[in-house]
Amino acid sequence: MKKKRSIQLMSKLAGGLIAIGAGALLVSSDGGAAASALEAVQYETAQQSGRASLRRLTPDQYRNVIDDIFGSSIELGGRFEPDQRVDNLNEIGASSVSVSSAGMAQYYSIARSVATHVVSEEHRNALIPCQPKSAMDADDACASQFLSKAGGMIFRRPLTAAEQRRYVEAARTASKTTKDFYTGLSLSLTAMLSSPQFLFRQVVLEPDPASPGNYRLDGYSKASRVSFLLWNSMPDPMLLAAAERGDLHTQKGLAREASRMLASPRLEDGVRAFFADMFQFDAMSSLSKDGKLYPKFNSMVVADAQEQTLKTLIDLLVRQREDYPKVFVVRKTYLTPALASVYDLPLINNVPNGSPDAWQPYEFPANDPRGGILTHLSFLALHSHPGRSSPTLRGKALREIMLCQKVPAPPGDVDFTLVNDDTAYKTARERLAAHSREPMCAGCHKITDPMGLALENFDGAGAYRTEENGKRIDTTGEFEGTRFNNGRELGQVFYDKPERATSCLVDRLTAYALGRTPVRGEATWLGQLKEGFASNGYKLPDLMRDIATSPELYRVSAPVVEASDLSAGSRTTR
Amino acid sequence: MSWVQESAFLFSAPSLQRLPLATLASVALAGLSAQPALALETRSYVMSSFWHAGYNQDGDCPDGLNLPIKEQYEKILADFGYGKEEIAELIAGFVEGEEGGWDQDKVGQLMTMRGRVNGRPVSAYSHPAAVKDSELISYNGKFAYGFDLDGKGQNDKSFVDPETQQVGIDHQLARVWGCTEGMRDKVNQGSATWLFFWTAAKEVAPAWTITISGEDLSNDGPITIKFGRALEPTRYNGDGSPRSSMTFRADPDPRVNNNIYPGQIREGVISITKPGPYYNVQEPLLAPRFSFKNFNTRLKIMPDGTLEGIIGGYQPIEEIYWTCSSNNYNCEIFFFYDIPGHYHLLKKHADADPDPVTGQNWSISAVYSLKAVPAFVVEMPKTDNQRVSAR
Repeated sequence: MKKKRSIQLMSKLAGGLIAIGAGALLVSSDGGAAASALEAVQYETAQQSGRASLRRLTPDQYRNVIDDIFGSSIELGGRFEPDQRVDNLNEIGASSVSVSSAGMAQYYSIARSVATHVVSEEHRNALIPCQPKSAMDADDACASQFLSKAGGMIFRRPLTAAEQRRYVEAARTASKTTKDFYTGLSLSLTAMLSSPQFLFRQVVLEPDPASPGNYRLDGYSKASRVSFLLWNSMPDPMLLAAAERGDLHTQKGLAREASRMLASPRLEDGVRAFFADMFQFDAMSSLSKDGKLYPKFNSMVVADAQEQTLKTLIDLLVRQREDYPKVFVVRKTYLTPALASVYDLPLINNVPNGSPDAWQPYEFPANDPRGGILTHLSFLALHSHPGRSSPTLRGKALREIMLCQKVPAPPGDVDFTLVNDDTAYKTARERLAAHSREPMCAGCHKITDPMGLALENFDGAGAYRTEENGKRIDTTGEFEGTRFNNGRELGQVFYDKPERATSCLVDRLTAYALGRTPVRGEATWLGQLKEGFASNGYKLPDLMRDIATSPELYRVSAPVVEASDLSAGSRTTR
Repeated sequence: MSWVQESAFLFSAPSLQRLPLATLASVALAGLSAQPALALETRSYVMSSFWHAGYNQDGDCPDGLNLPIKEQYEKILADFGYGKEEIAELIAGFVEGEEGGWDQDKVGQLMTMRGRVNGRPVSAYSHPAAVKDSELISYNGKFAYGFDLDGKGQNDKSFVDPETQQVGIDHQLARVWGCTEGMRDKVNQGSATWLFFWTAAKEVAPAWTITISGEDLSNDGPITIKFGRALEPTRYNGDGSPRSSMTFRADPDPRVNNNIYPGQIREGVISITKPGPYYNVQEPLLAPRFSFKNFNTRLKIMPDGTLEGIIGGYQPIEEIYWTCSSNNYNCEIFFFYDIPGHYHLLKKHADADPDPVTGQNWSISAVYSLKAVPAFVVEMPKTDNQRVSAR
């Protein structure tokens, strides 16, 4: 069933740069590289495959792509536009964000910084494959050589002839104006890096020869989709070559490339990016605590806490290939001295002078109150208030992040007096019990609090405690009929009953890969993925392979484009 | 098995968890000759504050305080025979404080070389005995923190401890510093000079560690106390408070590993029952070495788990003199006190280690205050086998 499609905005900016709004889609009429056509169409397809969309590069993806093309010594400068979380994922939000005028100014500033570094005397010999006849004049041959190579990586597909011509012309004009070849080159490069073809992950459709009248993603779009899923970066030359050969249109070719990428250490980057998104670690950058109450909790601890969980997950799920439910009980982790201080643990750091904050492997003892990522600082501190813990926030996060369940928002007129009364009610359990006597509050707190209270042995900064206001903390509770005594045992319940958490992971990872929430028509596919995940022993790399090689990940429906939408001279249509 | 692996094993081994204190305490104190037969609890600390334990009140120097350095220089110049107008001219060009330096003005050069050996100018700081005694004022109050180090009880030189009211307190260093403004401590948190020294050193100097072990540190009983030195400095939080529960590697330097004493906890106070020698090394701004005879402690484990109190004993005066004199004239004009003048005071009040020929004492009873926070201290044996103490 087709639904109404809409055409999204394309607005021309100075210098011929084009900013594409949310949800744009490129359609190639010639079946090849499509940018010259740049027909921007957004449509809502049948429920079978959901809405196709363009995704804006996240800040990490931007950095990774620049690193891949020009190396890590290139400084970005500037600040990125904030991500937008939609349906619990920034990667979905990336499909619905545009670029504001201020954001465009920032992108332009970053592009200038990158381009300036690339052509600098320090880098030009390594990054520019030719030398101009005169450094003070234009040189089309050299500019063309550099721009076509760099452009193919920046746009993650070969430049069209028109693009090639336009960027070389821009470099020529700028070089002649400035009387400096490299300045001209950098300005043309800046234009590339400011263009929507770079800032957004292009989705280019081409007629599907196997199904006349229908469309498919072109090879480069497929390459980007699999690459950003598995590596959180652009396709490497081998993947681009596979796209060029058309290998990605065959299941065998796609599986071969996916296997190669899954075997690469760069898979860790992809896994890291996914979990950072799923666990909402972007919120860590604005996390702050009351310095009087938690003097150890500083920005270094915040950064380390996030890194601890990501290192733990990567080691467990990628390097050790353990099953996903073990994240809730894993005792092996990594710590820095600053983190160990908050955890109140000894951490031997036998390094020579210097490197005082090096990461060290650590394993929580079997009877330690900590075990599993739910007892990591990254979870406990992130889902707490600045000056106290919050069983409600923690319970809500457990439901929504780990189990993909929806917790209704509180009503607007909640009376928080009892929740803040430390005098009459010593512990959070007592305060919440009093608060939940309000009928309007009881329903939601019944959902969140029992699990959140299991983590009350950890204060608002994640440090261990046994008492609150002089009264012993009760951390017992029940989850779906199984009783637990504390947070560690709650993690064990998640491990023993893995269905909900693993189902949630499949839902999240699929949404992350698609850039949108799966639709009803994809339920069968999701069911198959979940069955496969379980039968493979909940191995994350296997799930990623299944998703990356699923035809459903690349399925598109034919856009229905009204003639008026594509009329000449009117590229901006609502 | 590498030390890292072994340590990880130690921390994770279930058997260790059942008997952590006994095991870790014995590990921490391995090789200690004075360790209890069965140590069940060990706590380690890292020093977070350290200062000379002064106790000064308004009016406790009835003859006034020692002159500020500028006026002291005027007096010294007059002794050298300079006339009033010459002194005024010299002092007009005198650069005080941080901007000053021995080569910044004529006064700096004259004062740096105010020592005389056979009539020839020599550095006043390298040869303080070659500088005429300025006859600085000594503290002559009733109170000073400390211990009855000589065990002779009250005499005309001893003090009364303001906290315990114990008499016969030997703390002659209090006399040396007590009437010099920059060294007076009226708030029991250290003089301005000591606070400056500590602030400069605390985040860079290797930390000093204290490890206490006993059957039950919550109750009275015999204990073993060890003072050591770490390879890392003490760490501090963003608000300046010391960061507790950090892990420190004990410096394997044999010079700093012999400060182990039998002691006791009595009514919550940790003291040494058999005072002995103490030797440690430190960041050079404070002192290249720090040693005592008859070393003693009066420390308390506070309700928040930190450690506070005093340590002291007979300390060689050269160590105390070195602290500021090593920075020579700059230190003198920054902290505004007459360094050679205080050398003479140190000699005057020294009360131990008499020279067998001249009878001049070369050590002085000295007491320092400290605060320490809980920490983990890892012993560093020569082999790869690391050992870890619980705190």
